[in-house]
Amino acid sequence: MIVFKNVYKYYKKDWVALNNLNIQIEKGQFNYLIGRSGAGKSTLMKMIYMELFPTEGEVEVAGFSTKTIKQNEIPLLRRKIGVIFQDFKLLKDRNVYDNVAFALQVTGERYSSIRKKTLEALAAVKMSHKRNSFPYQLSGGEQQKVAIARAIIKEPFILLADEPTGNVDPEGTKDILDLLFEINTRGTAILMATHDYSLIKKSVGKVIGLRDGKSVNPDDIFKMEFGGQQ
Amino acid sequence: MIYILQEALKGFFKNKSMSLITVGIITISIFIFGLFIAGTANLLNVIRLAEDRIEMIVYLNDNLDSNGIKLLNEQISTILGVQETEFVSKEQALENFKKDMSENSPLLSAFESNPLPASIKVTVSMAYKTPDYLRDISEKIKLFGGVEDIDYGSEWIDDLDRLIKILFFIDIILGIIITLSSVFVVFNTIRLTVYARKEQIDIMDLVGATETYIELPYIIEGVTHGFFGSAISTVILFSLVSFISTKIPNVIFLNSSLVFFLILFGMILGFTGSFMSVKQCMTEIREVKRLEPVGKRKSLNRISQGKTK
Repeated sequence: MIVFKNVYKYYKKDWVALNNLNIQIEKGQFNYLIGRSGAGKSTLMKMIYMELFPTEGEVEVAGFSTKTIKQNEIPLLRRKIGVIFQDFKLLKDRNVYDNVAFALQVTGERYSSIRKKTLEALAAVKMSHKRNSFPYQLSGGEQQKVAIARAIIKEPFILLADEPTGNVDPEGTKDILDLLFEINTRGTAILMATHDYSLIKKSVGKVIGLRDGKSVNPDDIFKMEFGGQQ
Repeated sequence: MIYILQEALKGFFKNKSMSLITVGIITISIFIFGLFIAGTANLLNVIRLAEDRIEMIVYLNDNLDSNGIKLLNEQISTILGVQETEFVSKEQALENFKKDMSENSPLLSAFESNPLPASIKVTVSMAYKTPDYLRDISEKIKLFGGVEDIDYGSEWIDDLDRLIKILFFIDIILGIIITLSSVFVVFNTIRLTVYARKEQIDIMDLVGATETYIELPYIIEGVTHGFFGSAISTVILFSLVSFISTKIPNVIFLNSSLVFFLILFGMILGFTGSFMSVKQCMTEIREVKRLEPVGKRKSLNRISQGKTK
């Protein structure tokens, strides 16, 4: 469903972010993406929603290829992908309901179905009771749940989570992870980038390790981080 | 579509202070621009009034008979640039003179006979009222028989011509400065309103809004700002000029096409300003995302080493 084929990405010609990367993400799979900051995790995610394009190689996502996609097709691809970030990216001047409905309004959803879908998405993340609150009235964990509701409202095939618990307290972190697992059980693939290895439940999903832009055995990364040497 | 209109309206009313500032700045810019246009229109009017007064009087020899006068009149009429001729007899000249002076002037009784010569008043077409053409025409007339003297105010016409040229030059320079500065100020104000909502544009782009959906609310808002700004400034300008016209005669006011032009100018400024700003904003957001992430610097050497490993 998502395939990286010999992908290289250089910044400013001599900075390498991805170095001959070959990975595959299957339908409905839960994936952890681990590696230090600067390992290329964000670059990899941006290539999936085609914010970035490979310098060499090809990325295929849901039938679209970085080699052939047209500028006006990118919005169509993004409607099939949900993205959440460490900094939530909520609109401060809108309440929870409007923040979630926003994703439907700006993509030309029928007016009559917006309310129903928004309330359903809010219920799915257990935030219905806070639908009239503004982001500044919410904790980090709650804000991330709203962001998740906005990301899943269009029923994407994959949810990209870039350090989703980076600004969330331990209790909220657990909630967010539970929510991601729950969304996964409903058939949505998850790709969660993190450098907090304690969050990883190996039994649940596949782990992709990245170091210096290369795909490595995740155990090497664990060893390096916790063993102190390789 | 409902969303786009809603969003444009929201944008207009939600940030009331921002909207007021934008409309205010557009009002001031268009007002200054309109003032300049009104000034130019009046300047042109004054020039036209002055040029209207330019006329050429051909004084005739006293011994020229009526046939000679008729011939001369016809000859003058054939000269390029002559629009009309009118014969003024000695008697008529005296009449006119009497009219100009008060009726019982002692000066008049001093004359025993009529001292005023007969003349032909020559009206020159508007396009030929320049010093060079007037000199040309008068020289041609001088060649005809029976002409005593020609008067067309040659001294002050040169001065007027110089003055008109200077005024035009100043007007054009001023016009360029005012137009450019109003474009600059309005564009930058609109840019601020768009950039204030950079986050919103970013999220729209992320969730898969098409460019039209992202741009239209800002463009509608920009055009609305432009419309209100220019409409308000036109009303102020209207009141100001009509007040001035009660104090100073011959002040001409903005006609309806000028009013239309000013409002259209404001709306075009609003349109292009918001269109360019939102495009620029989107490009900048995308550029920022494409910048290199903070991390270790890896040189191409290491890439090639990696490839050969």
